[in-house]
Amino acid sequence: MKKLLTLLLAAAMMLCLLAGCGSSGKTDTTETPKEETPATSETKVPENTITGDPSAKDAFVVWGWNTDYVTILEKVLPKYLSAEELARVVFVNAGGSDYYQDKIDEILADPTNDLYPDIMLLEVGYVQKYVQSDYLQDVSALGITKDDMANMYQYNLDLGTDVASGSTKALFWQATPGCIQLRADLAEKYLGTTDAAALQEKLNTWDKVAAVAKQVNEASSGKVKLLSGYDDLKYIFANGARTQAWYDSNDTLVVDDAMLQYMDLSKQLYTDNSTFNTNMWSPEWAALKDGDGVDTEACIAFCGCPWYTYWCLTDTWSSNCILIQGPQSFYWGGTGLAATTNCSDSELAGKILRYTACDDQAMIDINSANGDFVNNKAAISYIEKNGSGTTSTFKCYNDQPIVGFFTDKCDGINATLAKGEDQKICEVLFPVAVTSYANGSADQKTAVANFKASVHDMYSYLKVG
Amino acid sequence: MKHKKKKGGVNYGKYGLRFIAPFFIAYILFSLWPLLSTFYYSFFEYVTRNLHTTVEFCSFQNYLNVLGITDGERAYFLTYLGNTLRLWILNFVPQVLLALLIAAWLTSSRVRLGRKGIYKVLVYMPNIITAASISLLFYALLSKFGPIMSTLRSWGLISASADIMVSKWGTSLTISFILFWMWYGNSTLLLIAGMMGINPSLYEAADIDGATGWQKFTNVTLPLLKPVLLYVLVTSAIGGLQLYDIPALFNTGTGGGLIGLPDDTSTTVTMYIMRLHASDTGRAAAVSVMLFIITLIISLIFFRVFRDDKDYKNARAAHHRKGVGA
Amino acid sequence: MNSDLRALRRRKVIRHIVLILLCFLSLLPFYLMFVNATRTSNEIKAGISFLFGSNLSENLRNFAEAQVGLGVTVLGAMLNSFKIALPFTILSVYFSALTAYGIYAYNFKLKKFAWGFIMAVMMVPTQVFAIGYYKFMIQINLIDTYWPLIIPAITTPAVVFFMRQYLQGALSLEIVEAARIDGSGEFHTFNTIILPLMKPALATQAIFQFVYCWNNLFMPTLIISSSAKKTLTMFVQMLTAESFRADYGVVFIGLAITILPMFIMYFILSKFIVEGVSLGGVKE
Repeated sequence: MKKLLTLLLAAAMMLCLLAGCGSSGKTDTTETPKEETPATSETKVPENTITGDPSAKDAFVVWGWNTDYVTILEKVLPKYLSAEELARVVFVNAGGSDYYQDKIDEILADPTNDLYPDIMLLEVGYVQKYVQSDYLQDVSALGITKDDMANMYQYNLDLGTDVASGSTKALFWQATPGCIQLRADLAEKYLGTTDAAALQEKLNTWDKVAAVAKQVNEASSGKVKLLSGYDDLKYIFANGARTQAWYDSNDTLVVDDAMLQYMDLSKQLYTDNSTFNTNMWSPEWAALKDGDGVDTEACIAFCGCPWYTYWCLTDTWSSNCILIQGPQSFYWGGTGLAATTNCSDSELAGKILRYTACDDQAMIDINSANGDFVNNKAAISYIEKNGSGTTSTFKCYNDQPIVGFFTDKCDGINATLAKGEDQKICEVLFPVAVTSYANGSADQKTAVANFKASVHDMYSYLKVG
Repeated sequence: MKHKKKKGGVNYGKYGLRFIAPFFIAYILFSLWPLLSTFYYSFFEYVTRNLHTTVEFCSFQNYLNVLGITDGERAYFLTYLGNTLRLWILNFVPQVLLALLIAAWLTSSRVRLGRKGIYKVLVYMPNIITAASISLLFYALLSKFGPIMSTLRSWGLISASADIMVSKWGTSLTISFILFWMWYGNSTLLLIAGMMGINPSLYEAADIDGATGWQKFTNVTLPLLKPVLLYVLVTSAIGGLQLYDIPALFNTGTGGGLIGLPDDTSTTVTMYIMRLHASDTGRAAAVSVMLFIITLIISLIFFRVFRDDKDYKNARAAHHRKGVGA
Repeated sequence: MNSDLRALRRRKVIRHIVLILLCFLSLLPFYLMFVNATRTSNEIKAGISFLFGSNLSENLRNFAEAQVGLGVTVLGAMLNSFKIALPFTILSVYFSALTAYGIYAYNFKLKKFAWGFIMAVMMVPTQVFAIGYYKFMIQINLIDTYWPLIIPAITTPAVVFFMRQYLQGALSLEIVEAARIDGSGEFHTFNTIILPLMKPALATQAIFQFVYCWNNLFMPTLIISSSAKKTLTMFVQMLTAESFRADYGVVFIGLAITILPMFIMYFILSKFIVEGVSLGGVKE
């Protein structure tokens, strides 16, 4: 009998599944016209990750880890490249940033491979690893001059440049100045205002942040907190407040005072019960975006940056989001691209780089295609004044201008401390130390020592000192 | 037992070799050679920096490093081995006890139960379902704002800040529970088979002697079940040492570092191998070799005990319990 | 006597209750999964429910959207897993039967050694030579293909062991002799006479090998890197990716879909599977 029931249950689920497949198939066709976000252009990408024929003699292979760049390939580059050139482009989607490096490193060592990248996309967290290697070409070899790069934000230019030799290899099309996003309804209720300047005044130092977080927790009896987790703050400290790189010129590991301050702040937030102690990108963390603060837990602030504001906030935040800088300017994420040393066609590579990361008009087109906050001052000031017909429909509270807000937020950012190991250190290893110190399972000295040992374990050339 | 036909042996012997040749050729190529080369790699230091890899012979340095014997190095292998063993033992002890109990119940001749078939089918079921999915399922159910924790919170049974995922023992016990839940059915079925194999006349003799149920269990069932129990123990231990799917997906850090949260306390040896495999072949190989040696020791003990055991013939090792076992 | 009977009955009832509870424990997580797959993220966050919600189609739609950009859909990943598991299973049972038969039916010099060897390597887990295997596959250019996941099926010592045990009980060599007298070649005899005789053993082992291969995560993670080639277990791993984590409903529907094939298969084949486990354990 029970067996029969379970079988029935299973059969019912199967039916639903099949029905679901039908309806999900329909989504593509019925939803595309009315919802004109880049997400819909993504839905058109075939499930096969390799678009194009990599075994063709003149194939030009571009590697990425998601479909973001496909939007640019499909919507922007056709204006600037010939159809023949574009037809040669093969896009390889590694399907996730977690294992992207492992995969591409394997292939970079083998230029004879059909899938050897001519151009590869790079993320700020590890771009330096490639920039400091022999696997990328200096952009000047592709015909890109200092003038072409004059409108870029300095911090982004630094990220793609090998400090030692001064050679620029990777160019970014996105600028990613950080901010703090506040939920207007909850800010009004718990912080007493929805005025951006007043909120900034309330949250412009870490002491104030800790105090406000404590007060919000008490006022809401724990249902609403200022921050989802202290983990959210890691990029602000690591990509904004640090004054030293993660290791010095002797390859000895250094934990900057700012990071120690971050550990102390985390401990305070933990002790005061001021956050939900979530980790970024966990389901709990995401779930807190949509809580109502009465029946379900919610939090007021999430760290953000342009791509996050546009694409990662949910409907709850639509016309309900206030952008402020917070205590510290910083950068968070950002994608660039570079041509590899054995790139089969430097001319085409030069063109693609130019029209993805340099050309003012192309940058405006990128913004209009996918809403990216582009890495080009001229384009941004044009967009700020005239708009670009961007497809993003996200609105802030009281129509606070998003592009206008971010325009000057790149100014104070220093990216010269970036190292190739940053991503693993900052996202994977350091949070372990922060948590163990915050929750009291280790004192600060032990936590730092454990952290250094774990970095050394992952990168044996970095010394604990 | 059939008797071998001598006359066929001489003429047809070469076919025997031919029949087993694919197995051995494939084994040498795809198992033995990789095993030997893993030994070989373990003696080299691989340093990859900015995509530039240097490889240098370093004799036993990789071993000394992961064992923490070199100055300034942490004994990560031992730490992760400790984690692995903790997760395994916490699952194995209750698993085998419950399996013994149910097996005894289902084979009891005094208290005859009906619907044995359905019980067997349902307690075994979790074993067959994709472990990766099960791991994530438990994570989703038990995460801080998942349905179970939310309900417990609203009933006031746990404090507002209670969170399994930030507690070492919370996470360990949950992982062990998943393993227990997935594997006790398997052990039960094996033990039932073992108990059914015990000659009923032994129990009849015990009955005549006036033995109680418990006395029969300890004096007849357990001793005769020893080979099966040992088999369950050994396969579980070897499977447990390779523990990967569940801890690799349950409460791990983002960013692809395969760090078992919280505080690296649920990272297992195979997760460490996977974490190192692309960046540091030498150390990953050294860890593999040590795992191999431990496995070897366990199997040798197993075979030794079996060879000495009179009941060896009764114990026929099984087979599908490979891969992710525990 | 009467009180004895009553005590017996009480014990029976207690045992039934415990066993029924255990059965519920087996089903509960899956039941909650199916229920939550039909609820909204906020409903799930609010607590447990045993009643189905009404958000199934919305969750499915969100799931379909979330899996875009991973480079492989859940159905594609299932197909990939199938493409590996099917040949794996066939190779495994065929070559294991062949090897077992070779050792059982013939006398030759290395027979003892061969059998000892198979017994000895039965316990060696693949994980311990994964590093060498991974490097080897890079060297012979098979990395990121399905071959490295399929070929090792030829060498599954445990299945050989099982098959030999089975042959010992089920095959009389007289049949082979008779076939020889009829002029049947040795391979022909194996394929046309022996294999059909081994059907029950082949079927049992086929199920377990299929399940093992389908559920494997470690080796595919090591070997496969193209997202289009990812297996179902690797897809499950991707369910931890950012796009899915945003919504509990999506997480649960995703899990439900990945679990469903094994779930259905189990309830269709459970009789054979349970028998197979018992058979494998200790055979008299």
